[in-house]
Amino acid sequence: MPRISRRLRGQSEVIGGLIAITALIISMGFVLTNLGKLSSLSVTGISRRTLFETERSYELMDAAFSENVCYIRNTGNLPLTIIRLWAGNEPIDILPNLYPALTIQPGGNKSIEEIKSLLNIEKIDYLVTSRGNVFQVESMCKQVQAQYNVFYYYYEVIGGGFFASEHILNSTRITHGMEHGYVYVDIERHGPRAVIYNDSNIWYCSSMINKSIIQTQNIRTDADDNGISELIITNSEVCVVGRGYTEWSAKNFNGALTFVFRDLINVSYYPDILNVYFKVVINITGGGTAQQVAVLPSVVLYNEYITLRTPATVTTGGSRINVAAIFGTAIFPVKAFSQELPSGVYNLNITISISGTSIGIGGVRLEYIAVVGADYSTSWIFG
Amino acid sequence: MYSISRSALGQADLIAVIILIATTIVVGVGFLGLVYPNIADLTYQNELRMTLYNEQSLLVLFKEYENSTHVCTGFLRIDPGSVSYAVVYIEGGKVNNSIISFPLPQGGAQGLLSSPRRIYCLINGEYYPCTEQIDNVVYIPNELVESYIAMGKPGLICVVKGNTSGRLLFFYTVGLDLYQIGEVVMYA
Repeated sequence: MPRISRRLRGQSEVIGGLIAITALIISMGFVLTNLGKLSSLSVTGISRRTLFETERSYELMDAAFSENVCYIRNTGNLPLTIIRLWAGNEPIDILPNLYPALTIQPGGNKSIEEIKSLLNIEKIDYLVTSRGNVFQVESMCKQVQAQYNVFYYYYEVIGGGFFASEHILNSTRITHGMEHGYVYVDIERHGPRAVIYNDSNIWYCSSMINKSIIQTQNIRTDADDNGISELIITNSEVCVVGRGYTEWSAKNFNGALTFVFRDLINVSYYPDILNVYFKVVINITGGGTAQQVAVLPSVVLYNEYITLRTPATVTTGGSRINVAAIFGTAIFPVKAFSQELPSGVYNLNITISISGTSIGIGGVRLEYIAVVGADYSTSWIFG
Repeated sequence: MYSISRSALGQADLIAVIILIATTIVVGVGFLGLVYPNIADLTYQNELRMTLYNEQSLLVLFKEYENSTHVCTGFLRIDPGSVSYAVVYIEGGKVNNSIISFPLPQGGAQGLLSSPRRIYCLINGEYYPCTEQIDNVVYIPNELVESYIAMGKPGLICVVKGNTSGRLLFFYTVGLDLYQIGEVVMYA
């Protein structure tokens, strides 16, 4: 019988196995490489989109007002480049050579006048950034103008739309009687109350019944110490000349207060959207342990033909101890209601619902309202 | 007794293995030849799908402006490139491309009307022939492609408001076929 040396046994199997395994590894590597290339293509696209959307969400802008000039500020943490703006109904494209001039670094700002001058245009409604964010600059500027400009001359505003509480009541309006606009506050379970306020050292009063100029009152007019006098709710239902008024207050208050502006809003065209901005200052009394308070505002725009109601979003900011400043925004997307808002005079109600564990209210005051998209009623001036 | 020389030891096994491997290769090549066309098609479909998903990820659409007569949408390709998209406006279930306009570059540009061979819409994440009768599409003008999409700037496309709401569909060109990669609802 042939004998095979032990050293030579199994060599062929080993060689064959090595060849087979090598061939297998080469073919697997080829297939895996192709698969990897394909999947990385879609993963790359998704990750780029995620990064882009993250950057886009970090792009933030707000407006500030100083010395009668509106500034836009980059409050995000990425440089912001304006590549297009809308003025009226026209898109105005910005050439690449102007991008450096229209790039705002984080924390930086640029005035609207500077941008208008650079592009030789007269107005700016919207700004579009390179990341596709659209900022409503005109609305933003009007809102801050209402908040900071104590000496705003709303009579001179073209296409107006806002007035500060400083100018809600003035002598011209007061003398024109009840057929023209007036303001009062309706308090749940307490009834209607007159409001008083100080404008250039003259005190005015308005109620559901009448309006009049009143004697000087011994009441602090600026609850949050920001230099703007507020509209004060009184304990009286009517305005009486020669009378001293006290500010309305309540212990254990849970309910709603409604600031009623009758015949004060004039809509002179067909707006697609109306924005109402307001600020209310609440003086909370009582001390003791911290109370949880909910403030839920809603805004109603109405006349005898149409009523629009919308909830408002609020942010809060305290200015001093026991004083809460509530900033509210209400949006009426008129077009989305599938109806037109006919021209005419409208009433505006701002209802503040206060609920909590029986808090004491030292006073609720309105500091400003701004209505963008409508105009103040001309019956104030020429009636 | 017979004796076998050392050089002949294992030769038979080695020859057997070589024959085995050769047979495997021949059978394998023959098998590949039979299935390759199907594999090629599968690979192509996979590559196409990945490309389309990538294009969907790169296209950003946003509502930019609206007034009483027009609604305008901005569109941006995150990765700048000379990619020409086709758009279709569907209003009330019917195609109405005549109300599409391109206000930029300043003065406006004309889109090119074209009839595609096949057009596929995105339904629940998969591509199917579009249910709407789409006879023609509008290609984004070259001026817009070169000045905006290729530069990474948002382009602008506007439609005239009608009585009902409409959808603006964006398509990517693959050969003569169009595949939907984006959609924005334009409320009238």
